[in-house]
Amino acid sequence: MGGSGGGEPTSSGGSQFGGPGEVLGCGSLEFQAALMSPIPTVASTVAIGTDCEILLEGTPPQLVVYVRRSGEQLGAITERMMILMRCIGAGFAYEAEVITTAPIRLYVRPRNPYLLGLPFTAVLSDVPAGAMLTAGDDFDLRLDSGGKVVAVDIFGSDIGRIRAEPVALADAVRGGTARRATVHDPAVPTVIVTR
Amino acid sequence: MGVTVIGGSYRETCREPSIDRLLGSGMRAAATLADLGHDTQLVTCIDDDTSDELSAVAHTLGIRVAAHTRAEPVTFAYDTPLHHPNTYGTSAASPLHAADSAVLGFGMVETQWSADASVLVIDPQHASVADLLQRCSAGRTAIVLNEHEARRITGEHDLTAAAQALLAAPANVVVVKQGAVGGLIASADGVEAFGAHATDLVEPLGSGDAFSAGFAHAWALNDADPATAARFGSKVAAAHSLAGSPQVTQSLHCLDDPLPYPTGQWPRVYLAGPFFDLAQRTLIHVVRHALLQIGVEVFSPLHDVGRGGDEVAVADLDGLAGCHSVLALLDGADPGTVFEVGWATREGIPVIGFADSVDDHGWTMIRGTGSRVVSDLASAVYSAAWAAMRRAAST
Repeated sequence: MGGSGGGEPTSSGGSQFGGPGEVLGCGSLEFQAALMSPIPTVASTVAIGTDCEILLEGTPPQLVVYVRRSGEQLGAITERMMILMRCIGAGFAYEAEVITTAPIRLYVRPRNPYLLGLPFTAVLSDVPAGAMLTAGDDFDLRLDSGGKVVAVDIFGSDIGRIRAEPVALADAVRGGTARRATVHDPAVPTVIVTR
Repeated sequence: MGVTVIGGSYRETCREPSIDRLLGSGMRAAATLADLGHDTQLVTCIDDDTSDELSAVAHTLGIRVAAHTRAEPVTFAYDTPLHHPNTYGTSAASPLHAADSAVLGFGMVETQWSADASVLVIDPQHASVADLLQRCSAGRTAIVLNEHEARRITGEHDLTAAAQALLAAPANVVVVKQGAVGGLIASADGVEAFGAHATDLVEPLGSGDAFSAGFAHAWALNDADPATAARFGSKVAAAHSLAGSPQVTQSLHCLDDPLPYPTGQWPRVYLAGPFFDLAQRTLIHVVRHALLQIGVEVFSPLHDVGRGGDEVAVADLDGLAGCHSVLALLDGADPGTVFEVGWATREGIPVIGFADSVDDHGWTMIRGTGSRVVSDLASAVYSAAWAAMRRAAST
């Protein structure tokens, strides 16, 4: 059984994973939730123990669940929606672990920050039609307006997205510790993310 | 095919297990119908504090919403899913109206509603069926309700008589749900029974709403006959219960065939557990009430024999011999309870154990002789009922 994280968050303040007196309850908010609107092709690939990320995005804002390793969208959750949205808005982050697969249920808990090991190999997706990738090509990494990681060429044009590790990699790009993507296998295509 | 659901969007909270979500009968049924492939509109009421959450949840669940204003939030707060909820927030809202070829409507706490439809399914909850029918216009009407509501509304204790009285309300179809047992369908063709689907996990909150959605999907939107529609409703309710989610399609394929509706001996559960202190007796009262509510008979030593000395042992075991399953409240490892579990096991009576820690070393002999020990109270209660149904049907 999942335990409630306690009281409502305060309306202001609170650094990420903040200490006492900052945002009430958010740091200990843990619970079970059913996965809503599962994406069948992704849902069929997860197993018990699969780590996921929870991102607040979309219009209206929703709690979208992504598979951490691949960055593929798995579905969404609606349990404790308002308190989670307030806590995320106050700087807290949450992750989820798959605890059952048929149907999929998740255990949601605060997400502790971790450093993504670099170099890091990832699939480049949403590559524009006609783009010619060659092994060794270097691209810069940036965040788009939605906070997602994109690889751009020297002209600033999007070459593709890196969906894997949607929180940790975005944090690394935001913090300047992940800056470049080098094409490793143009056929897939995969890139190696480095400083 | 399009459908309009008219009903409540309410916060549901529960202490054990911990639940906090915005659903309610209307929102839940709309989500189920959308998941079953229908373009679904929800006509509901919402307050300013909850409107953003309603939009977000509805978007996630694929529902179009026409929301009217109410003054304050409405919350149904449960201690466990087996308890009656406390309801907070009963502010009045203006009456609602729905017009569509197919409408599924639920009684609401904050307002009344009317509907014009070709096909109308009414789940009255606590609202007056007569008033609802008077305010609605429909080519065909079905009433879906549970056995306790049917008895309360009609004053008939016999469920067949209650269903027939509701049929004269008038309605084309009446479905009376009987919890873990299944239910009855009444129509011009007569009265027929259907069985329930057993699941290992049971989250009962809202499974009745899911039943109504499943019934509406089959009867109102796919022209299934009433019996087929009720069986599909039962299947959807079980899938909802298994998933703990109004989106049932991912669970429908996980279900076994339904259990047969009892026709001979009515299933009876022996409620084994200590009752030496107030907390223990409170749990016994709650579980006994829950078993009765979901449609099975109960032999409870506390209620049916009482406290006493050594003389109660034979009376207790006589009661146990007449039961089809045992629900054992194992926490504390009361010697009397463990004795009863062993006695039942030797007699071939199935045992379901409830314990906070299912892996506790103390339950080795119980688990090792084929009994199931579960930590979820609702799942334990329903599993005991279904075990009794299976044994009653085979003896």
